[in-house]
Amino acid sequence: MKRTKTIRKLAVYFGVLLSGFLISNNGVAQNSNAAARNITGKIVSKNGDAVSAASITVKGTQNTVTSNQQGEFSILAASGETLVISSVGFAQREIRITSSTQNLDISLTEDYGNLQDVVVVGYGTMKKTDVSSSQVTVTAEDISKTVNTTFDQALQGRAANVYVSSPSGQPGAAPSVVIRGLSSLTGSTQPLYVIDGVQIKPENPADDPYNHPTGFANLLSGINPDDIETMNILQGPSATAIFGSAGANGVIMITTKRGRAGDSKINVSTLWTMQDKPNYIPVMNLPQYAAYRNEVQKAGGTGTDSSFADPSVLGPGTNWQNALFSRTWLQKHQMSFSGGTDKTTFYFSGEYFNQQGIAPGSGFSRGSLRLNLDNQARSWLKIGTSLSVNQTQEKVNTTNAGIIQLAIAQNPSVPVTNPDGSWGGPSTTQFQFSNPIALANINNDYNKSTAFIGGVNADITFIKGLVFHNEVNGSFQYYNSYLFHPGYNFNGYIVPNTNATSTRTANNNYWWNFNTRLQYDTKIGKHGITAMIAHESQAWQNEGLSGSRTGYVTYDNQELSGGDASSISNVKNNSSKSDGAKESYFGRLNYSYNDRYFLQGTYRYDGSSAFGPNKRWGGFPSVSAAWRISQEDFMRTLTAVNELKLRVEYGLSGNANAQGYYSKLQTVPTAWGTGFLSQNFANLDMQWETDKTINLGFDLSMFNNRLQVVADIYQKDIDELLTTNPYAFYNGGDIAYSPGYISWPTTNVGSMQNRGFGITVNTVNIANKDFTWKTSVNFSLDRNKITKLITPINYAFNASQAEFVSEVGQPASMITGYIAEGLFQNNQDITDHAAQTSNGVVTVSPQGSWPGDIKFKDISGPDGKTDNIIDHNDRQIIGNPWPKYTFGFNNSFSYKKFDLNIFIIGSVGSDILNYARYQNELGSGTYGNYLASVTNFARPSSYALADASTVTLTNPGHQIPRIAPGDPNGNNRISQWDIEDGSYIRVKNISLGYSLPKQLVSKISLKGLRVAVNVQNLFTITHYKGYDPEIGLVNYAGTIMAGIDTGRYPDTRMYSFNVVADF
Amino acid sequence: MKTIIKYSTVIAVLVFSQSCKKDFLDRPPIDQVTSGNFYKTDDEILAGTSPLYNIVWFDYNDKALLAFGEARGGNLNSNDRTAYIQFAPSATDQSTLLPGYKSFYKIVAQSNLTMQNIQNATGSTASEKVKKMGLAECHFMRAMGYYYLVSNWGAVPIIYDNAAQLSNDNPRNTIESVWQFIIMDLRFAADNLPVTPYQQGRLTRYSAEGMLAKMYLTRSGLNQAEGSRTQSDLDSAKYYAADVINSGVYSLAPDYNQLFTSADNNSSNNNPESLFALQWMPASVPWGINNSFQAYLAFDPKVTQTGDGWGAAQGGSADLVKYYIDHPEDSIRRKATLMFNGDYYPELDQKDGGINITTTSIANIKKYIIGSPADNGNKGGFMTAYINSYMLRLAEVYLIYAEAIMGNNSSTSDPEALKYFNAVRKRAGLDDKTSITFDDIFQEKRVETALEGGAWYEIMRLYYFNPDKAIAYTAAQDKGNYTITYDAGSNPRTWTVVNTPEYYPLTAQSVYLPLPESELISAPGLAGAPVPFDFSKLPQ
Repeated sequence: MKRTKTIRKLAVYFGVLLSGFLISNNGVAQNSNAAARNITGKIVSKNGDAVSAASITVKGTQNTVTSNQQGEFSILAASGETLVISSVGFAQREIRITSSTQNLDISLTEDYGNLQDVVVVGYGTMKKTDVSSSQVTVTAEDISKTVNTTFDQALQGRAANVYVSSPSGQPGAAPSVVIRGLSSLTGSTQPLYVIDGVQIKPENPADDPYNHPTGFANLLSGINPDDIETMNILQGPSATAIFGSAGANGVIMITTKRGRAGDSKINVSTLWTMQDKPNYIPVMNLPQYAAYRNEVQKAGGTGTDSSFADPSVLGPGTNWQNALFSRTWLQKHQMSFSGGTDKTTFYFSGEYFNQQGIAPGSGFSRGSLRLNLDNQARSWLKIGTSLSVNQTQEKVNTTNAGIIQLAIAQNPSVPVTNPDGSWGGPSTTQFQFSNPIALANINNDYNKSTAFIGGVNADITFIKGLVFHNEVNGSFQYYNSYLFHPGYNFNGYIVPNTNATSTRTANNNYWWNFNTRLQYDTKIGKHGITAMIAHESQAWQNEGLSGSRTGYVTYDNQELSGGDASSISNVKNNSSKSDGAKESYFGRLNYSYNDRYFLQGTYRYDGSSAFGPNKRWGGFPSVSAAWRISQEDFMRTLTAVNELKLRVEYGLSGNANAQGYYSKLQTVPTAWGTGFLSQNFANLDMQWETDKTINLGFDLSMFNNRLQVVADIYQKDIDELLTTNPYAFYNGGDIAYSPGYISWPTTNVGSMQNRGFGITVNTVNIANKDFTWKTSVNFSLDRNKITKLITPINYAFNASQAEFVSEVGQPASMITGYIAEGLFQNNQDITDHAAQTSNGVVTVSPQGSWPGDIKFKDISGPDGKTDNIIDHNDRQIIGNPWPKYTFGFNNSFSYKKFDLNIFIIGSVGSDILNYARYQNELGSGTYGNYLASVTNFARPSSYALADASTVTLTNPGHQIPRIAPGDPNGNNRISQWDIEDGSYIRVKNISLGYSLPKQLVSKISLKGLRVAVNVQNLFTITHYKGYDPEIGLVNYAGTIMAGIDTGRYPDTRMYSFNVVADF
Repeated sequence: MKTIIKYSTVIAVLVFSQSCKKDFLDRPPIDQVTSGNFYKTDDEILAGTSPLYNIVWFDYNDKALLAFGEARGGNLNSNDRTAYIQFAPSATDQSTLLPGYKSFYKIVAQSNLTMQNIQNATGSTASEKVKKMGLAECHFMRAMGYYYLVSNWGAVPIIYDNAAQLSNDNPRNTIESVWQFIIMDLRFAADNLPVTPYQQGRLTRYSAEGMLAKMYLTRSGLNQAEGSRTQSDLDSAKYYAADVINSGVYSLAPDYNQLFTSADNNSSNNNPESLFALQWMPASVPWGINNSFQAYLAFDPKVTQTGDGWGAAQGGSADLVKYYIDHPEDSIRRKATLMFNGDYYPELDQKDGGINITTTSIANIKKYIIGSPADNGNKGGFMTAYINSYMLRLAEVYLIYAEAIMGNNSSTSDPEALKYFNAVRKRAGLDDKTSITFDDIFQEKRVETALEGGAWYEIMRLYYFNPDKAIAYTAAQDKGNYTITYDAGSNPRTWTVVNTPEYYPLTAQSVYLPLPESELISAPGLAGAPVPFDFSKLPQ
């Protein structure tokens, strides 16, 4: 092809011209006439292992070869030329060819600094030393050290200022990842994930103990964690601003594994994990429960059971938690092939993953395939694809039916199964609880997702340094949800077949983007310039179709066709559809001088369909600078310092958490046909939430890179917070449904400020020939404070006593409640104290306040002064759900072929509202069980009104109030007694691995074989009384709610055995 | 090189063609109608105003109708509405006070938004007539919202453009301004509504004129004294009432009792006396298109057979019962209004042969109590009685007419006034009167419309021009408990009533309801002095 030749010629011309520039600096002319000869060599590491895939380049030329599997290479070079040998993880070496050079034995020393590494940034890559913004890399090695169902779980404790928590330990449940504090009150606070160009922004996980979500898994759960090469967490404003309106919550750039030229690698691994039971929450056994019920009757409450007459003769009864939880398996089998030639490389992998839940009716499985291809089609054209398909299935009976909460609350007199093997249950339906084990087994709720995530890209190189990059990416997901709740009769607890329900939901979602960018990279003398301009458009659509029927007489056909056709209702059969689009223009300019001074500027101009024409477009600039002090001449003498870089950056990013600016209409049946009314107030002026961040940081490497410190401090001012602010009602709207209501508009009414600090210290403590010990610690501190809000956002959880408030001067979503001062001891105590009920009347009576009732503190009245009445005015902030600081601490040891890794995470200073304890510790004695602590309930000397003047508490010293049928004193108010310290330190993982000697495994045709055992969640140090102190934040009714434990599905200890073989 | 340029150009063109489409970022909701693409045809306009007849009124009809209108009006004895009966509602009341307040402003807001949407509809093909009618319906409903607001709270903010005024800084407007606003709205409605209903049950010009008569009559006393009510307002009341009466479009229903049956008063069959009624549906999805009245007031679940019927302890006040005992001749309206011990209602619980009243502790309410779905053509359900709520019926216009003719005189024998006053009495089986006073008309209206939600607003009307008399009137009302026992064998029937009198007079401080506490917290400016409304701000 004549044209190609022309191009090649041009390219060579430019190349020569450019190298001329560079080389002229050194004043050493390249001697292209000297006789080139074949130089061979072998590259080994310090301990003698061959280093494959190292690159050997003749300095100043494009003559590059790669070492083979044995570390050997051969290259044409002439005397006087210099070979540059580099490989990931090793210090770069230069060797000058002399006339005598023939066969080289090159030993590379391990480089702990990885300064030559190239890191992924938004829309491009950059040399690590050139980066002037705050970002952290989590590598495949880090990910593989813990057992993770989904890759986002692997982020926990790995990076500073990345707070990973999970609202559920159910298999497949997506964690909540919050980078540098909350940046929105009502929208998603999750970061943007960019997986090989595919952008995914998950919603906050949603939960509610009475109205459980039909699933916890999201699109990200389809990704095989083992396919990931690196995760780059972009935190600094200059790094995230390039993502404009999607960057405010931080960006996690995920690069999957790709093939390398050379021998094909075949890798097979298998993992078997035994998951243990949790520590049970102590509840009453049957004798305790029977005794309690007898007391309830005495106190005038629900009648007891005749069989409870003598509790001492009763057996222990059913231990529901023991019946619920069991040891189960998690297994993962995976294989990958990778390799390629100079022109084409490939990576192909397949995975099967299956995790049973420790509670029946939960589990997660995944099958995934990935094919990543790269092809240098022409000298000027490189094309690549990243394709993955996956299918996941998530079983969700456990959370959907509140099985865990039910297992704590069901009383021990109810049998799990009857002697004939049928399911047990209470004798009647009224006021009783169903059988959680049976429900977990007979319900059939699951979600199935089939997804494609991938894209193709093409790079056209016009001249050296000038690249035109194009990519098209997409994700498609078919998500089906199946719910089947049959009718049953458990010993008299009856759900009639007419109420048996099946619900089927199908959702199709797609997203695509089209990205083109022109990049130019050059170096003129000491001036390095990289410029990029780009355009991106993206669009998405979601469609849903759902139907439901009731009236199932058999479990065999669970599809809608099996239900009563006359039960079809127009309300339950429905479809939905929504779409959106975004268009962006952006650019980046980097300038460096003499590898010492770096300056970066970015600008992105985003248009989004979420906003009306008035405020549709937003601009997001950023600027950053770095100074590599270590390159300065005056630092030359300080040889201990390998690298010292100061960074400063400032930038804007945004959040498009908008529900749309349109005024939608609701339909209303009328006598004259369907009518339409306004459903919401339009807000044509709604605009982006904007985050202005300033960041200062430094990178330090010392002592031959054996000590590395990265530290950052930031302040993030979030303005134009989008919230649905309740206005005065004369404006005609309402916050929650009321007939004919108009939703308040989503408006930009608030501001928050996040400040924080993060530090990571990596050290190589010992590095001998046989033994190394490395430590990595990260520590972070993030503080959030609301600085402006028209009215506080005050929301009650399920119209219950649990209430949260977001108000100016406080972090978001603080827990509120009353102050319990103790229990009333006697008549005097009651009459001396404020009236406990809002009618303001002190009544010393078993039907009023009585010894043993909780004494709540009078703090305020309607006018801000104490009024001797306990009512809503006496609520206080009683808990802060956000940790004061979090940390991760990793130690890795290797001795010869053994390696040991100990990973500890911690979160300190958060408060948890232990709602599960609250629910099971307070009550007036119905048919549910209570916590064992309730056996110490307050016992007044009498329940008779006649004794009102003399009654006292016979067992002072406990906190559980008396049995009070009807709760006339209002003991069920949430108080500081329900708040617990959520701090914990968890030994997240300990793993011990052994790589079998090559000589040994080669006998069975293997190139490598590694076996490992590990224990995850070995133990947790905490004062928290619930199952698990790792309580995440959730989206509850459109607002963020954090720190409430409604009986979280626990994370338990996992014992794993893992074999990895390389062929 | 040329190849590259060519390829790149192709790609670039592809890229930009993909996104340069002008509407790429314009994505209205796909699965819901928006205000921007509706209200373009006659049918769409009608569909846009029809919900103003039901769902937006639910919270008023659900509790405020009885609590504000009848408990404060002295007609109700109820364990549930004690605070209102005693003129002592709490500002923190979230079950009745707040929903009532919200509902009136919801009516205002939905009317305002619909009005704007009709006016701003682009590419409209709707007829001018229907467009005007739709706007007139919105104006009418908004006026109704303000009528209840000004009567219950006095000075309140006038919201005429919800989008533009959306803030917590709106001041209260003076009572005079609110009245002017109400009358302006209703005059617009009268000018633009059709003479006969476009669809049965919809508003007509005479609905608006009847309401104008009521509003003028009320306003005539504002800031005036007895005997010197504003004559021009009285004249206007007379003019509009006469126009309604003489139109021939509406007529008195022959049978008083039938007015309160589902068959003669539902959203598919409005009777000829009904000038404006809330048009409830026999369904409750979405919540709010249903009439929940019967659920609270039916004295026993066996009446409704739908699991509600919580009204055992709710009935007529001792004062109202006393009237009927003193006026045994008013028995037709009595039996249709209150259930006395020994009464028999064959139309209720028909499958069990009707209902015999054995209660003696109270006279439970009968008006609007229609029985089970089975008693009503299988229409209705839980908290869903298939019957309309009257907001104005012709009988009341008759009485307004008589009072407007009497005007500032202390009594009248005007033949026109007597003709219509006596027409109302005649249907009730009562003798004609030959001369009537204000008190005669006042009492007649109270009994004719008892428990329809209007009693308080009549007292309020009186308070405008004679506060002492209004206070004395409430002070004389016995609101205590009583027992009522049928005197066995008596015919005509008589009853023995044993009272435990209790009196809760109105005071100058309790004339108006307190603003809900949460509202004052959101908008503390409401505590400030009311300001006159600037009518020039209104869109022309």
